[in-house]
Amino acid sequence: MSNIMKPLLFALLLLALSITACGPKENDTPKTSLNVTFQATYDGARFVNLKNYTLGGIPVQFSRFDMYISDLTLLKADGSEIRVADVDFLDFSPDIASSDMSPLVQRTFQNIPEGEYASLRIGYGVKPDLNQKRPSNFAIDHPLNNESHYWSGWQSYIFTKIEGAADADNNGSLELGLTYHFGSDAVYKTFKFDQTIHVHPGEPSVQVDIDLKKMFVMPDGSLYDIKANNATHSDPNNVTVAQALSSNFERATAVNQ
Amino acid sequence: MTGLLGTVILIDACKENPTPNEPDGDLLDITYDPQPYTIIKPANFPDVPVPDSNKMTVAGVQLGRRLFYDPILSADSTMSCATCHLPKGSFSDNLAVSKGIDGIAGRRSAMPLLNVGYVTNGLFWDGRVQTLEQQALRPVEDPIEMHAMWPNIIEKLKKHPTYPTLFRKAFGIEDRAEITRDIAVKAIAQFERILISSGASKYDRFKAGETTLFDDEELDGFVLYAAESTNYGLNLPDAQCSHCHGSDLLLGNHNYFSNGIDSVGTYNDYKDIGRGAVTLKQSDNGKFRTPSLRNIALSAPYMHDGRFQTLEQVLEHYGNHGKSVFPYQDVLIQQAGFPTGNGQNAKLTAYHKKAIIRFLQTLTDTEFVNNPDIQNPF
Repeated sequence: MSNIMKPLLFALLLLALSITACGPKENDTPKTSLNVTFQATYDGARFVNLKNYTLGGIPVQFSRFDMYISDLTLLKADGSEIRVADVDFLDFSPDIASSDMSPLVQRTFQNIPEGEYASLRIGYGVKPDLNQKRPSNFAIDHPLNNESHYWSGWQSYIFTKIEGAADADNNGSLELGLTYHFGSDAVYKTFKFDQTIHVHPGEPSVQVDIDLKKMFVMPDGSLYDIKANNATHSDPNNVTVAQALSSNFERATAVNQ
Repeated sequence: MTGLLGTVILIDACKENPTPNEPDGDLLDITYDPQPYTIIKPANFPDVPVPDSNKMTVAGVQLGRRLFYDPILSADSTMSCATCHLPKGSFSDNLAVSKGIDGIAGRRSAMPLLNVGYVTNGLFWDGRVQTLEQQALRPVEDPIEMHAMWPNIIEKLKKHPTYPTLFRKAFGIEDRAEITRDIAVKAIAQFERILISSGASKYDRFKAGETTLFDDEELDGFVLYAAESTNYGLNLPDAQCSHCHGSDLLLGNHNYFSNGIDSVGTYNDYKDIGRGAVTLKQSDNGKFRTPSLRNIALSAPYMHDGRFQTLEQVLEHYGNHGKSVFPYQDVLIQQAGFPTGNGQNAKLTAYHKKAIIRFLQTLTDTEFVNNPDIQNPF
């Protein structure tokens, strides 16, 4: 190559790079914040802690409903996606409030590329790469530093806790304890919800409702038999109940904006 | 002439006899060279959260330790933080309830302070304050504890021959008049954040890989505690302990539960409503913060009111599924033990209870309670 050609090629290379840099890029898309509101409902209405409900005619009360979610992700129609949250803990058990109404869990995610998204994907539980860890691997204020939601017997986080009691024999006392704890990688579920989501300044919050009653409605429409299986949290080799109930997240979840 | 003389005298008086409330930089001759304090903790423990507003320094911890053990914080200078939080009791006093300077008994047991720096979801049994700094304010002015007034305590500290220098070294104040209750409690909080497990308990060594360290009974107790039957090929029930007390490092950053120690029929029947007084929610009545079980064998008596003198009594309570019913006690308490097939669970056997106690004893950390860095400096 001649001494004249070398600088010429170098200049062409620089030109090409600058043209590439000026082209449309992801980084050029304006970014904004995205508000998401998670709400626990029961039969379509806001869930109330320790309220008298019925499940297949059986009086029930629930005292705890909480869950981990992972990889909250916005998907565009072209298949591209933006992950807005790695892992989060949604606690629908009322805390500091003067009522037993389940709290709205509100989150604001920053730097989300503006645009129209076609769906929202939610991982229910702690995704496997994080579920390999344990609470002490995380800073004390991290949602995964939560010893009461970790089970060394499973070597897994407890993804979801549904606790309460039922009056199974209709004698007026809530004698049947209900403790459904889901955990282990086998129970981790990911579902996609098709709903146009507008991400622009001033757009309303995305509403994610999770209906506790529908968690007990099986795919064929029948109700889960809480008398036959009132608890699941002791045997890491038997996740049948947890599998069945955690699959119901898909039908129990509604996404709107 | 008389007026001039009077002025001179006044100026002179101001120079030689400054009152403690008139800043004149009386501590500026003392070197302020804060050295960061590195909290010593087991390698597998997470970092202790330290607020930006109260960074740990060597001088801050030294001052906090001294204040913690000094009865100067009480109205009659007879009672210190350490009166109720003694190292040998894992920083509790081994009394059902403590008595203050006036001989009046409190209504709740002094909580052990081991690993208290990890607690981020509320301090005291009812979680009424969020930070160690806020917590340290309370006992000083509590009429049934140290029964003092902070302004009076601060005056004592300002006039003290040693404390102004220690405050200068810890916080860089230029004058003793700058000693305030806020920096006093910051120092105490710094000391409390170093009250960390040594990592030398039998349980810690077991978790660190010395898997043959437990004898059969201790291992059974651990399996019962943490529902690990399948992992160890044992046929033992889930005693449900770890749902509230955790199953990893047991650091005590736990939630609030009703543990059924009183048989009540309504939310208004609790003698002490606990968490409910903080949240103003009836369904929180009777709930108390779940304490860490580390050093539990050293910190008797047990429960928020110290009603149980022994671990045997505690296991008798839980093993028999508590005294109350849902929703006045947590649903998990009724599920300790083998399922009986009708949605109910068998009570824990005498062996189960004994094995769990043997396991709890593996949480004893004598290296912590004997750590010279946290003992009384006086």
